[in-house]
Amino acid sequence: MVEKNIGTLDRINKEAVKQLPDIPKNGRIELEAEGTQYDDIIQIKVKRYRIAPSKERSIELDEPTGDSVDKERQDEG
Amino acid sequence: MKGKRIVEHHIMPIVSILLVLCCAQGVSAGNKQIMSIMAAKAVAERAIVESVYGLKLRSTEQVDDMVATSYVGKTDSKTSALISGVTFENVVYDAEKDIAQATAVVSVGELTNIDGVTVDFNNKEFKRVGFGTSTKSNAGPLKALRAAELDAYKQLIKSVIGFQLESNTSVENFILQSDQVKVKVLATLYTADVTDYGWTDGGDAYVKMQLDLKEFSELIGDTVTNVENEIYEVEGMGAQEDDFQTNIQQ
Repeated sequence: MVEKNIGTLDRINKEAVKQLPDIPKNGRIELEAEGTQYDDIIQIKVKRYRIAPSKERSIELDEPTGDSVDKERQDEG
Repeated sequence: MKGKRIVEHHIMPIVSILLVLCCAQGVSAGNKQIMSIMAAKAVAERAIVESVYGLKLRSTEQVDDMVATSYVGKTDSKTSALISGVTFENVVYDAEKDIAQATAVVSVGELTNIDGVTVDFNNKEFKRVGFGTSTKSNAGPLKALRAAELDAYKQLIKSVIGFQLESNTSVENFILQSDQVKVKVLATLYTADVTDYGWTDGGDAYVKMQLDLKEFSELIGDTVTNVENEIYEVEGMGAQEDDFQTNIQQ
């Protein structure tokens, strides 16, 4: 029973998110929506949403990592 | 002979009284039966009020990371009305289980419902069944039945009136992951009718409930457009025990 309800909640949420025009490749989405559920048909209308895309950082190989800095400091000490 | 008659005259009534008392003692089960039947009648009356006058239902379902143990589903209902002319039929009592069943029946004319809307039912007859027990340990199936009833009300509201969604979702490489999903329902409902109910072999209860959408649309003064059928039926489910809570306690 609980699994079925969780599946329905997931489906309702994904139906709402799919309506958003600008889903990022990576990020977080907060939304509020209103809808109806008739048997398996979910009709949903997004009222408010906020998208926070994840900042992608490139790895710079020349930059020393935290570990090596610590090691250098230990060597100096 | 006269002495024998006097003895017979005095002894026979005493013997009769003793016999009645002995038999009555054999049948008597304290006030359990009365209490259970009264409880069943009260539950059936509540169901009638919910159908005729209506009920306010508030429900919240929430899950985090789609994990079953985090799922919280809570439904509250509220109704209060005085409906006169309710009669009871099919009052049955199971002495072994201490469970009573009663069917409340009422013919309704004009009535002002929970939303303050005056409705003329033209003496339409409403019938609802209620169960009651005075033994706490036997209440499991009855609680499950009430849970199923509330679930059915909730499903009807989600279909014909609607729900609100609040969610947090993360996206990784365009794949959606629902982190937190909350669905809320808050509405009044009336004229819902129970068409079937029972228990599965596992002890879960089910309640089939239907709503005449034509009648309901006329009452709310708005057309229910998202449902195609004129009569919409749902099946609510209710459990006797919370398996997840039991597992956590163990």
